This record gives sequence, structure tokens and C-alpha cells, in this order.
Amino acid sequence: MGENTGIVLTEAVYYILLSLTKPLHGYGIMQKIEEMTDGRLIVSAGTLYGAINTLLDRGWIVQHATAEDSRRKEYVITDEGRTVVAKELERLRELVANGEAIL
Amino acid sequence: METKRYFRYFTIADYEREQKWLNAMSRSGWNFVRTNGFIYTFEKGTPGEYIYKLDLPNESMTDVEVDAYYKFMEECGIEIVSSFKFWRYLRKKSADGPFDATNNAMTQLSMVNKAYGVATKTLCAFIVIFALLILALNIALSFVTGNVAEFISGIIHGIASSAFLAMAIIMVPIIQRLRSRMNELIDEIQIKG
Repeated sequence: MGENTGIVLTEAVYYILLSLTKPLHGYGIMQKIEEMTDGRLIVSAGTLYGAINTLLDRGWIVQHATAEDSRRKEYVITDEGRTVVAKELERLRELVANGEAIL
Repeated sequence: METKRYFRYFTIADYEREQKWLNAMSRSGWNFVRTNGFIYTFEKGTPGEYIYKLDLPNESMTDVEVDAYYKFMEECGIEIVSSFKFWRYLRKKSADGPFDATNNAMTQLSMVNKAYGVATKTLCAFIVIFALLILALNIALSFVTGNVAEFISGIIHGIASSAFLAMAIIMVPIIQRLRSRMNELIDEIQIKG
């Protein structure tokens, strides 16, 4: 979708998308992000809940069809979601490259 | 179980102060269990076992969505201890880590925004209810004439306008405080992203 070009993701959304390359439930996402950032980034349950709903609406993640225990909803990234993260990664590379070239 | 009761009142603009107080109580071994807006009940426990947080559901959420939201919280190891009006009192074991990154301006802004929504809605609801009441009274009084009716009308209008003024005096500074806090946080976000 054209509206996805030039989006700057928040740190929380960036890490939520990254953590969902494998299906995870809400609490799993929180733990995964904490682990990936060595406890630096802690996403609150409230923020995560809002972000998950927005990402579902945009089609960047989908609910993962769970086998039996459907009480805990699991989510997984979509192809569109992957494209968005890839674009963001490109933008971040530019930030780093420019910073390193100057400082 | 040993309990303690405190009488306290916090306005909607003071929820951060309220939260700090609940956490200070928890650190000294008194775990908050419920409130009716004035009386806060605490139970004796292990000092620092829990951390507390005040939360408001999003205004746009339906009841079903609010349920789903707090169910999600529970799945994340958060306990809904008590609720009063729109507020939910949340707690989690401090061993499991904090609710969120400290000083996250975005999270704080979304809370202040929700509180601001509740405060303005309360004031608007009050204005509408009073306007309707006064209208109804005037219609009723228009059927009666004479000194007694005028006297009653005068008293009622006096009471109504005093209540109106009192509400405005209480609510307007609260709304203004929330608004300036929102502006502070927006300035912060523009720098920190």
C-alpha cells in the first residue's frame, strides 16, 4: 500500500514486528522485546494492547490460528509487515551511516 | 488479616501523586486493596512485593473491548486490584519488573489524554444536566403564578447557579492542569521521539 511508504516506526512497533517473525502471545512479545534489548525497552501492556490492535487493522500482523488453547491469542507478522520493517531498517541504516560519517 | 484505612482525596489531575502514594505504602508493607474514592484500604504484606499503577480504559472502547483489554493485562501478569469510577487500580509483582520504561513520555501522554477526556466529559455532562433541570423547573413554574412561585423560583435558581459556579471553580483548574501537562509531554516527545 502506498500509505506505507516513508513511515517512521516507533521503537515499540519496530520491536513488536521484529518479535513476531515467530507466533507469540502478548506476554511473549513483552518478554521477547525485553530480552532482545537486554531490558532496556519495556513495553507496557497498555501500549502493547493498543499497538497490536492497530497493527491488526493495518494488516501488518495477523492472529495466528492456534491449535487448542485459544484463550491466549497469538499473533504473527504478515508479508506486508515484513516489508514495513525492512523499509524501517533501511531508514535506520541511513541514520547510522550519516552519523558515523560525521562523528 | 491486618488492615489499615486512610482517608484521602485525589482529583483526576492528581493520579500520578495517588500512584506514588500507593507505591510508597506498598514499599512500607501495606498493600492497597480497594477504595471508594475517599477511603483507601490496605492489607499488611511483604514490603515492596507489589508495584501499583492507575489506569483508565480508552474512551472509545466498548464494554466488550474494555473486558478484552483488562483480560490481556491479566495475561501479562497484571492484577486488577480495584476499580473506582473510570479508574482501575493495577498491580504486579515487583520481581516481574516495572509496568513500562520509566519516563516514557508517550505512555504518560496517552494517560493524561484519557484523564483529560474524562474531566471534560464530566464537566459537559454536568452542564447538560443542569441546563435540563433548570429548563424543566421553568416550564413547571410557568404554570403557577404569585409570590410563592416567584420565591421558590428564586431559591432554586440561586441554588442551581451556585452549584454551577462551584463545579466550574473545581473542574476548570483540573482541566487546565491536565492540559498543561499534555503540552509539557508533547514538547518532550518532539525532542526525544
